[in-house]
Amino acid sequence: MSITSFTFVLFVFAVLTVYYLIPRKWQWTVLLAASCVFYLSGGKKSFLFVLITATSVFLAAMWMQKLTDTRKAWIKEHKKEISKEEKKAYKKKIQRQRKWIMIAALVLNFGLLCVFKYFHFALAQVNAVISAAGGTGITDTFKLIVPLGISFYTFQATGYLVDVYWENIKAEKSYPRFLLFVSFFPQMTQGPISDFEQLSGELFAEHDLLYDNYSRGFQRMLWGFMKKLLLADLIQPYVTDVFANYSQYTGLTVLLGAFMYSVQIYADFSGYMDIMCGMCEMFGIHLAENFERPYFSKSVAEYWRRWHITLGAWFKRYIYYPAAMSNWSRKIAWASRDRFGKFFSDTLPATIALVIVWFCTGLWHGASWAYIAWGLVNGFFIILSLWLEKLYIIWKKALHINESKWAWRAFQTIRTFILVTFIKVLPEVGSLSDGWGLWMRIFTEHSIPHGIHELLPALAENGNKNFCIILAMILLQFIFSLLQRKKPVRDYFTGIPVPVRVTVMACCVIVLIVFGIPASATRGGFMYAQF
Amino acid sequence: MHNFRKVLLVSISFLLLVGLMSLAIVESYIHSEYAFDEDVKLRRSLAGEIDYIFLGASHIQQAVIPAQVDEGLGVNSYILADGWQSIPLSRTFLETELARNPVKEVVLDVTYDTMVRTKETDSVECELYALPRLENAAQRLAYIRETFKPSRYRRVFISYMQYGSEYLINKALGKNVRNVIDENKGFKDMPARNVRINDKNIEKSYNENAIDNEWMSQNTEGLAEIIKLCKDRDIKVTIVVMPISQAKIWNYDGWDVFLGQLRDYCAQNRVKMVDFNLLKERGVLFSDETSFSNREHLCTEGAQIFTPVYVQVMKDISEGKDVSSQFYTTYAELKQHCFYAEIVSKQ
Amino acid sequence: MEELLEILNDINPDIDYEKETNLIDGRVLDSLSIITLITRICDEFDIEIGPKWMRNENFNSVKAMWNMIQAIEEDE
Repeated sequence: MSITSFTFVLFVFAVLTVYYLIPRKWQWTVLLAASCVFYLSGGKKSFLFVLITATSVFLAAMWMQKLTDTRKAWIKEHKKEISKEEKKAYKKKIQRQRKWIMIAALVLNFGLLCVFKYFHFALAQVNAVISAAGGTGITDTFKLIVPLGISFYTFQATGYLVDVYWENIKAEKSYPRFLLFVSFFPQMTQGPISDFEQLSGELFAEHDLLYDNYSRGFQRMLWGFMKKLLLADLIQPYVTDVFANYSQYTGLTVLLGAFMYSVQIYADFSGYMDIMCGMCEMFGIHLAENFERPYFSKSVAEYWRRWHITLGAWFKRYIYYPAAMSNWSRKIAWASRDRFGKFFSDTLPATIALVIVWFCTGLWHGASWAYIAWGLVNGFFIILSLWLEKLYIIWKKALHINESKWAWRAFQTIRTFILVTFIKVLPEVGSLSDGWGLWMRIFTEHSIPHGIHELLPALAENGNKNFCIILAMILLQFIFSLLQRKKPVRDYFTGIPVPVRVTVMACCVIVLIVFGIPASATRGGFMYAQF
Repeated sequence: MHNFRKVLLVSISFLLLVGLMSLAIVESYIHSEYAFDEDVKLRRSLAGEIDYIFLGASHIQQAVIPAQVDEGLGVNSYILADGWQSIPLSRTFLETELARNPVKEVVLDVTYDTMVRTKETDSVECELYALPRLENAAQRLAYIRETFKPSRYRRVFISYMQYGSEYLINKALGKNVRNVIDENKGFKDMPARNVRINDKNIEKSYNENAIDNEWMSQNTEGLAEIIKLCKDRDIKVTIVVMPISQAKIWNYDGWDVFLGQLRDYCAQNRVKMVDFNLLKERGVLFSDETSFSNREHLCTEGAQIFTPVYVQVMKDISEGKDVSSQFYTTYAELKQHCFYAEIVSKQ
Repeated sequence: MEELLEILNDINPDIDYEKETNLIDGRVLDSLSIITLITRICDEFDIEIGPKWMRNENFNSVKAMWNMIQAIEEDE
């Protein structure tokens, strides 16, 4: 079921109706049924893998929880009889068992993820090595259809598993409830990746149909559709054109194309988020935010705290902190302290952890060297700013830069936007050499485009009307972003009388139908759904 | 505590508002550039006078000018054809006019894809003008029941919305939007466009594509029924193929298969056939640069050149003259003599 | 308590740790500082701060951190 289809909208309202008509304590079952329907409509075979993940993680967590409970009960019972060493040894034994259960479940689920996502890539690398050694490679005849949203639901489920291992939360005892957590359909294809505590609180609570939730949710959903259909989809031909033909266009045209890509992917991804978060709000459920005006960031590090927030949080919590504070990490820090000083030994573990995180982030986004390079480039800039932190302070002082001044913050924001655009574009053009080629084109081709059609080659085919819509949407999004700094945009609307709001939204729907629905099937499809 | 009442009230008002706005846009489209309802009114006013009917799709709609045909052949003609018009729809239009006019001759326009098209592959466009152009509610309901699928309702609605708002926007911008067919008795004015193949592409575009030669029985049978309908009323039927650009003929292969199929079909159904593409003097008459609005349709200028030729040929045929010397026998022969072949041979 | 304050002041002397109660949620301490802080606490107090203790509320203020350290020591 495509999200931007009339069928989906009908589906949502059908589910909403049932949801608010049945007794409140069964509302979550409606969500579970809807999730199954939604996923099965995409492909029956893929659902099997969701079940495998949900079942394996559920059982592993239950088992670990049982061991924890047994341990606690045993210690309580024998508190007076045992010595401190015996207690420690017993705890260690239990912990080891729990660890192996967790590892087994992780291996199974990440194994599945890796096979689906990285099999072809891995095979290609193996073949490269074989042919370098003079042999003939293995033929790749497997056709693996990646289950929809596997990256997202696997991360969400394994996050829960690790949280149970760390005893942050107790294992969920009800399998249907856990299945809902893993397969909750608004999050399935593109996230956000939620943690169990927060999401389960929302999912299993009892929800009243509140007009405020309903109207605010619908407003946000409508805005999401507009971002996707009227901005992301309309700007796509321009981006595709520049990426395909960059070697023939002027540097300025290619640069503009790169900026358009930044706009496109933001509108696409955050548009999806708005649709889903808005829809969930209508159900009385609040999902975690994934975007916070990312293009207003002042540094690459800050950008990654505002873009795809839940993925960054997942990596931070389950990979970065454990890696940076692991034993070997501390050993490296200790070993280097005497020779290289405190600053070095403090920053080195973080650096190594960052390299790991960004390598994995790149790999998560795509099974290719281009994406790995992309991840490492991002990591490079973040690591660089860590190491040069002290140097930056000295420079800023020497240049008398007042950090609170508007001009400086504007400079930082624009600089970051340009940097982030360049990095973003690298793996999207095609192969790594294509990305590099595009960069080079921007820097080396200096001629000025003659007229609007040389600056925007795709304009002729796509029409002025569509371009006007693109500009209007960008302006609207920019204004909304500025407004959002104080409070949510919808809060500004509460003063406006309902009939006016309803009329404006009806007009938006008309505009969506007229300009947002493609005449042909070449547009559509969310960009992050391939993950 | 559920806020059912407020939610329902606002939701229903919202839906009503969207519905009303949509209706306004669709309504304006129906009265817009094509003035379909004007066409219905004109045909009603001409009832009892029409004796010559052109039936088919967009090719013939843009190729012959009824006023000139009337003058040349001494008839009162009307074009019952529009883009993507399907055979069942053609039949409905024809039946309406046969019921109220002393029709003596029907000219059927067959293009290379007339017999190949199905509802599944057709674009939605032919649904758009059909409803406004039908005579009454009964015909419309029958049409909807027979030809629409629920999945197409959505597409048709969206197309009405998109064309309607484009019309409204263009009108607001002061652009000329009328593309009148009513005054011209069904003829559609179209501007010229240069469709000539670029010199450097000529050689590689030769027979680069192929037309679909798989004729569907629903189409051949449907057309045969129209032919029978006419013959049962002693109406003369001729099948014609309208001229398309040399660029299209050059670029595609399979024309002679089509020609063979069509000749067999006409022989089977005992109707005369004239393929105007094969006119020997077409090289002099039409130019790919000025006579066509796109590779398949004559523009108004082209129609003004073609109509007298059509008139003369049809006159000669009705007088029993042999016109075969004016035509090539195959598309292969045509291609040998065509403009692009000349250029290639010079290279 | 003093050793804890010493560690904190060493990492970032510009913060008023007596008053600040939003060190993590308010991003007063960045992630590098947090890592350094935790490793130093582990070394100084000879404890293991397992992942189950790594919640924002345990590090938002000096008092919270101190409570956590004592709880871990008791647990072991």
